[in-house]
Amino acid sequence: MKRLFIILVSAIAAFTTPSFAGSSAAGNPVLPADEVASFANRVQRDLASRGANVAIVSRVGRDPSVLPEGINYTHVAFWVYAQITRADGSTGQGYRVYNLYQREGDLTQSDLVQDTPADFFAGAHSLDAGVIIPDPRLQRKLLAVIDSPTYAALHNANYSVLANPRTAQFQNCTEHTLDVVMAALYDTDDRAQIKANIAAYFVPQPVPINGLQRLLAPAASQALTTVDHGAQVGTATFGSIARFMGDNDLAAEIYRITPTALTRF
Amino acid sequence: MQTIKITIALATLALAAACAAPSAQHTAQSANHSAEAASHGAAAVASGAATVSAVPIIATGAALSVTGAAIESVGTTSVAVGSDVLEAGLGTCQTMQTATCVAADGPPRLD
Repeated sequence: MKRLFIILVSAIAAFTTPSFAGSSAAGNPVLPADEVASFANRVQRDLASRGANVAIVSRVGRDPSVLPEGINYTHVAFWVYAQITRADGSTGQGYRVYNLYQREGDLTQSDLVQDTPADFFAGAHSLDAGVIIPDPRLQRKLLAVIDSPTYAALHNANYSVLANPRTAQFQNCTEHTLDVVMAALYDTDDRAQIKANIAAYFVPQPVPINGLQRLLAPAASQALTTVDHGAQVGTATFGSIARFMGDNDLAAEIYRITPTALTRF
Repeated sequence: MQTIKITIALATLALAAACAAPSAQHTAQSANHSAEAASHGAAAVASGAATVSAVPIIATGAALSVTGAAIESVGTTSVAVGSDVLEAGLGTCQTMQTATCVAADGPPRLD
């Protein structure tokens, strides 16, 4: 029993090494609302100045130093240029954000939720966004999918942090984004076809997680399951989607934006 | 065993943050800058009006162009609180272990 205890503690300790873990949620800073709103507006204006009707925008939800190597952004969503109606009935143009969020109270499930740019960055660890502006032709296709039943039909509420984008067993926000991109690109709502195309042409971000960690992770949370993976674990990330779109000439621009700088990847 | 429980709890918190909605703590702070839209929702319900507060631009050929000049500043307020929740099709999703029976299309490219 003592040996088992030692093994478990060692394994869990390994599981919580900096490559994956770090401070708890309670340790995350909450950025001032005015700074968040100001940054959200900066991103909005930047996208609009580039004529982006649809963009893929990511945020930093955790301290990057505690994220696995190669993963800098923790949440991705579509930003859609839209007409906004305000409380007094007046209208203006702005971006509406189409998210897949983990469900509060049951992290193994997710919901599709629309919110605002300021809401999108409300949970950010730092004011830093990765942006992909798709090729205008792909933007038109994406708009058509987002405005159709296909957008919701491609949602799988069974959530996994490390969902395998090549299968439809689980899904996270990044995988749903990728599925929608593929649906638009290939003009299909056939999930099996989308997954076949992802398996053929998309390279997931490898995630360094060993067998013991994989074994123990579901004990911590079912949202950490990796049963949908083979020997190697890989998931869709902002970076892997950016590489896919860049390598296949599907993106007009890919860059990082902060309150003071704009850097092309 | 208590150590294990604590460590597991920390691991859960550390790893379950992806795709997270804004935290409850920040949601509370966001209440003020969302108040405008929240009141809009209440008014809309009371008047029987539609509660949809944003209409995505639909692809209509040449109408897609955006000048960028009309972008609306939200200032320190949230122009539309996240009150519009899409029907997520909960419970209707299908699972699929692999897609090995389906042949891939050609490489991705735009016409």
